[in-house]
Amino acid sequence: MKYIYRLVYIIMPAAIVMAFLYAPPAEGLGESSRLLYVHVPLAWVSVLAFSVSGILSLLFLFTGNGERTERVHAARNSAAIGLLFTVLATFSGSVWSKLSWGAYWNWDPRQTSIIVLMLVYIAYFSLESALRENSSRPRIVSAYLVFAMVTVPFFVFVVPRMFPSLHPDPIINPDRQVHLESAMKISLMTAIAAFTLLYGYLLDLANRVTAIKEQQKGHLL
Amino acid sequence: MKQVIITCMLSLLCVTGQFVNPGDDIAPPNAVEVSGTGTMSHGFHTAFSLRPENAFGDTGTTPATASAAPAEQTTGNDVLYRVTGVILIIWIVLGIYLFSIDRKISALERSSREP
Repeated sequence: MKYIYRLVYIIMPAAIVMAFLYAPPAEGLGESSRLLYVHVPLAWVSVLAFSVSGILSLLFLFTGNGERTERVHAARNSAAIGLLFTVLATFSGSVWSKLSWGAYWNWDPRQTSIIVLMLVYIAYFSLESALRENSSRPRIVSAYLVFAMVTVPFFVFVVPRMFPSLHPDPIINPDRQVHLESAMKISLMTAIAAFTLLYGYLLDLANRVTAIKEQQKGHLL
Repeated sequence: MKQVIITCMLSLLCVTGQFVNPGDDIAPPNAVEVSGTGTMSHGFHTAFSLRPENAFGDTGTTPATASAAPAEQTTGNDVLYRVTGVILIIWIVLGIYLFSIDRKISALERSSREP
C-alpha cells in the first residue's frame, strides 16, 4: 500500500501545474479562484482523516478486545493529520474570504463551525495527554474520537446550511452534481487525489514511526 | 513534522501572495458586503457555479480598454508561471524531505527486525 502513496510524488506536481496553467480562472472571482484547488482538497482530507480516526476507534472498541492498541495509535495519527489539514483549510479559506468578501474573518457559519470542530479535536489531544498514566486511556480516547466523528457531518454539512452564509455550497450539494467547467473539474479532482495520497503517505509514515517507538518501548520494558 | 507545517504554510503564502497588493486595505472590486440583505443575492451561496472567465466576454471590457488587455494578460501569465515554479520548487523540497524520512524509517524498521 505504501507504494501507492508514493504516487503523490508524481500527482502533486501535476495537480500544481493543472491548477495554475490548465484550469481557467473562474468568472467573477478571477485568479483568486485558483485557491479552490488547495482549499477544497484540504477540507476534503480533513473530513476523511477525522472519519478514518473515528472508524479505527470504533474497530478498536468493538473488535479489538483492548489488545490491538495500534488502531488507537493510528486513529490518533489520523486525527493529528486531520487537525493539521483543518488548520490549513481554515487559513486558505480566510485568505480567499479576504479576496472575495473583503475580510479575513467575519464569523460566517462555516467559519464558526470549523473553529468549533477544531476545538473538538484539540480537546481530544488534551484528553489524551491528560490520561497518559491511566490504563483505560485507549478506551476513553477511542470513545471520544467516535463522538468527535459524529459531530463532523453536523459541523461541516448541517450547521452551515441552517443559517444564511456567503460560502458556496460544498461539492456535496443538494443537486448532487459538481457545477464546474470540465477543465476546472479535472483539475479539482486531480488536486483531491493528490492531497488524499499525501494524507495516506503521511499517515503511513506516522504509523510506522509509532510502531517503531512502541517496539522500542517494549524492549526497554 | 515542524518543517512540514512550515513548508505547507509557506506554499500557501506563495499561492496567495500574487493576489494581494501591498498596502491594499480596501475591498477588491468583487467584494461582497458581509452583512445586509442585498448581499445574499450575489450568487456566492447558491452553488458551485464557477464558470471560466472569458477574456473579453462579459467582464465589462470596452473597446477602448481592450487594446491594453493583451499586455496585461501576458504579464498575468508571467506571474502565473513564476508562482507555479516557486510552488513546484517548494514541493520538490518537501518531497525530498518526505522521501528522506521514509528511507530513515525503512532503515529503522530493518534494524529493529534484525536480532
